[in-house]
Amino acid sequence: MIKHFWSLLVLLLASSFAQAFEIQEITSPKGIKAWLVEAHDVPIVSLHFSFEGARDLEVVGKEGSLGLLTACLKEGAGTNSSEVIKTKLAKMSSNYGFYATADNTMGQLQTLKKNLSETADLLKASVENPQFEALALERERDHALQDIKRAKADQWSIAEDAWYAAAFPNHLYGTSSRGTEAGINSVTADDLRVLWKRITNRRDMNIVAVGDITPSELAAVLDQVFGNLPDLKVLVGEQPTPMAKGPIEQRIAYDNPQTVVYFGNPSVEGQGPEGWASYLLAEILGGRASFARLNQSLREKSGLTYGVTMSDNDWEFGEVQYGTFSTANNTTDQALQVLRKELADMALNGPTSEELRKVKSFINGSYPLGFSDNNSIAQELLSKMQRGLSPTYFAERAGIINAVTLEQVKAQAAKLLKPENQIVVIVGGK
Amino acid sequence: MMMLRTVLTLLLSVLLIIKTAAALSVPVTEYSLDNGLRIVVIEDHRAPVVLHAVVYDVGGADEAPGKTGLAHFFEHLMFKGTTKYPLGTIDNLMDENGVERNAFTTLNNTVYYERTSPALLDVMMDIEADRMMNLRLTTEILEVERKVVQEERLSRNESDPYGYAMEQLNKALFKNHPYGRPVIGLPEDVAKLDLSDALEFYRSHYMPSQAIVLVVGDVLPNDVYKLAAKHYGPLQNLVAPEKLKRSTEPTISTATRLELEDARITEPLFHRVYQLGSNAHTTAKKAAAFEVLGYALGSNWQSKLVRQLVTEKAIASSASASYGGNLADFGQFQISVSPRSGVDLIELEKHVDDVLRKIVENGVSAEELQDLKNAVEAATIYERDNPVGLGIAIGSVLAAGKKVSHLDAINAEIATLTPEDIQTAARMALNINTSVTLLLRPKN
Repeated sequence: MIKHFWSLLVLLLASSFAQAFEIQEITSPKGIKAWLVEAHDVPIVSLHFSFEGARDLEVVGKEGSLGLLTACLKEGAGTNSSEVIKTKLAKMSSNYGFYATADNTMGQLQTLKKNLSETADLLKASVENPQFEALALERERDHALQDIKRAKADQWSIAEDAWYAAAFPNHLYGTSSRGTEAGINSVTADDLRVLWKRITNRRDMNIVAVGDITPSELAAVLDQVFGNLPDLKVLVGEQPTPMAKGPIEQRIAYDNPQTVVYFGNPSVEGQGPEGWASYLLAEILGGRASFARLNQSLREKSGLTYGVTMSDNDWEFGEVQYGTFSTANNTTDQALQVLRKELADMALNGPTSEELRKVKSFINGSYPLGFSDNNSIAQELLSKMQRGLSPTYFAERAGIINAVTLEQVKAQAAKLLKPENQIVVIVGGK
Repeated sequence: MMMLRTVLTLLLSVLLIIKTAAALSVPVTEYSLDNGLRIVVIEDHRAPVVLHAVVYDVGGADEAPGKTGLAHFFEHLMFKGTTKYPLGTIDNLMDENGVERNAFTTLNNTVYYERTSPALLDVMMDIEADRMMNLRLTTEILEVERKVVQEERLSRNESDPYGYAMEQLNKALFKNHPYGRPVIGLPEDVAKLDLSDALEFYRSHYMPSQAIVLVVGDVLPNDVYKLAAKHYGPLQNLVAPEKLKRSTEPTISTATRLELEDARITEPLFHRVYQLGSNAHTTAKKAAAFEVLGYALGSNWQSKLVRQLVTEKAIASSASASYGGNLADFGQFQISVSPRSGVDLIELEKHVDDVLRKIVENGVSAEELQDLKNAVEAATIYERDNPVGLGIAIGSVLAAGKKVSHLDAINAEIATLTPEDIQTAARMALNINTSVTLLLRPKN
């Protein structure tokens, strides 16, 4: 009885969520497309956008240039100096900025409604004609070099970098987006200009606006900011790559009372039934729900760690599941044993039908919670737009998840979690 | 899961910024029940989501000597079940519905919260009311959780040079005061805490008169009041022992320096915290002036530390300053600056001191002040888009014994501040003799 009660609530939650926001598909006079969620309660506007391509567009030998580029796009633009841009933004309490993910180069703007037009003008100049002023470039170069040094001394970064290097030995995913000291040192302002030209075009852009803005206002902003970009397709510089063959176990000595463990295996492409099954599998093993098997065995029952998480990642050129935890040096072997036992058991038997039911319920119940502020909404919508999904996805998502069968998840568990697929990096113990 | 269930001392300074921003322009309704439980409702109807939080008036500073870490350890134990909801049941119910929940402990408060559909508020209140009085604990449960807490301390302190350094800084700033103890506890104390400690702590501090229930989201105040009366209304208070009286005399009177080195870091850090006397931040006007002083020194591109050290002199890669006014006994004003590579911390400190000396001597111009006021006002608007941060911020202000109207008053005072007020605040706050300066360096 009580189970029915809860399921009913989950359904109610999902349906009220789908009605809670409406996604409008906007096309500007120049043909630039965007999704819009109008929210007029608070007089602010968020604009999130992305270009296809990221580090795959960096020139060989200039590793790290994309990070420098995104950090320097406000350092002079058009006829405005860095000083003018930043002073104007501070006075308006507006901001915009850029960053890169594994596959995309992204931007975000947030402003009070009354300053939208002026902020969009500044953004337009950064998009069209960044100047990369010398002093600022040197400051960011210094910052990037410090970050490389930091990562070499930081236990979690060492573990992460080593895991990716082992998993993708012949692909950019195997190297850090921080780049190399040689690469960072060799970057010039001209290199950044060339790289930015390669990235910016309006054919492959994805754009989401959320907030106090109407469709016609958004259409005008789209043309204002992005209308002069070339309507070309970016030549992406990478090819799909499978993860390295396991099993691999790498131990790196590090002087610290705790040891950090990264573990993982290949996954499958995201939107098909297999992709959803592998996503649910990772959630059952190491997701955010308390019943997640690794949380139960490594934390709740044994106190071996403060926290363990695992996620399923579907990138453009490869798919992985990986997880992390830390534990005291003297309990590392015990924790690894528990981990291996859980993975082996899941590979052999898969989850129970009860676990699958619970994880579906958990995911469908928690998903709407991520939609309570403009930036979170914009971020989630943009990630789905990048995958070519339609605005109806958000109402359909719960149904797609509910349709995944136990057999499908078991099949993925048997395929993905085989011991010979496992790549484990252990940093610590000294 | 529950990675965040933890100690949030640093959050205090963050909250403060939100706090002034927070105030107003959002509908706040307050009630109280006969048993003393207070209820605060903040409406936000933009999404079908509600935040339900219970803020207890107990934190790390209320622990008896030798029992450090008890408030935080106990927070972990609150997830272990009651008679009505045995071990695992609460997690199951919440997992089934994707309820986001967590808890954290500060020096003054312990906070438990859930985010979910308003349809589930009824059940969330039932659970929180039940575990306020009917927790069931065993030694076995406690022993497993002790290991989790010890792992948490290893992660946050022994494995994190910055965490370790902040613990040393607090110890120096609040010498012989409970604020100088780590909320997560000293290892030797945590190792000894037992079931009777936990139960005694529970009976002393967990009861309706010691709690504030905060509800933020797509709800109507009257509906919330009815639900709260149904679930929390029947709870009876136990006899709360008198709280340990803490001294509010200044705990520091000479400039103190800490220099630490660690092989695990590569980026040096300059960090200084000033202690503000117990009455320094009690009036809305003073709080407003300290708040704006933080903006003036280190919040955006125009702030003096950022402009002069990061941009003009190019000797720092980042700089920040902020006022923390949410501790019950003292205010704090803190400054953090990271040097560019090759810049020595001692050299950097001279330049920091130079900026600070100038603001004490000259204050800010009328034009600068107007920009600062505009920035605070804009932050107020942005904050309305973040109901969770807003709710938790308001909750922590209330828990510090202040009223929602105090926040209104601070905002009203910000509008009336003059350049002289900022200079006076700078003079009061930036007294080197009531500060601890931390220089954290890589070890070769």
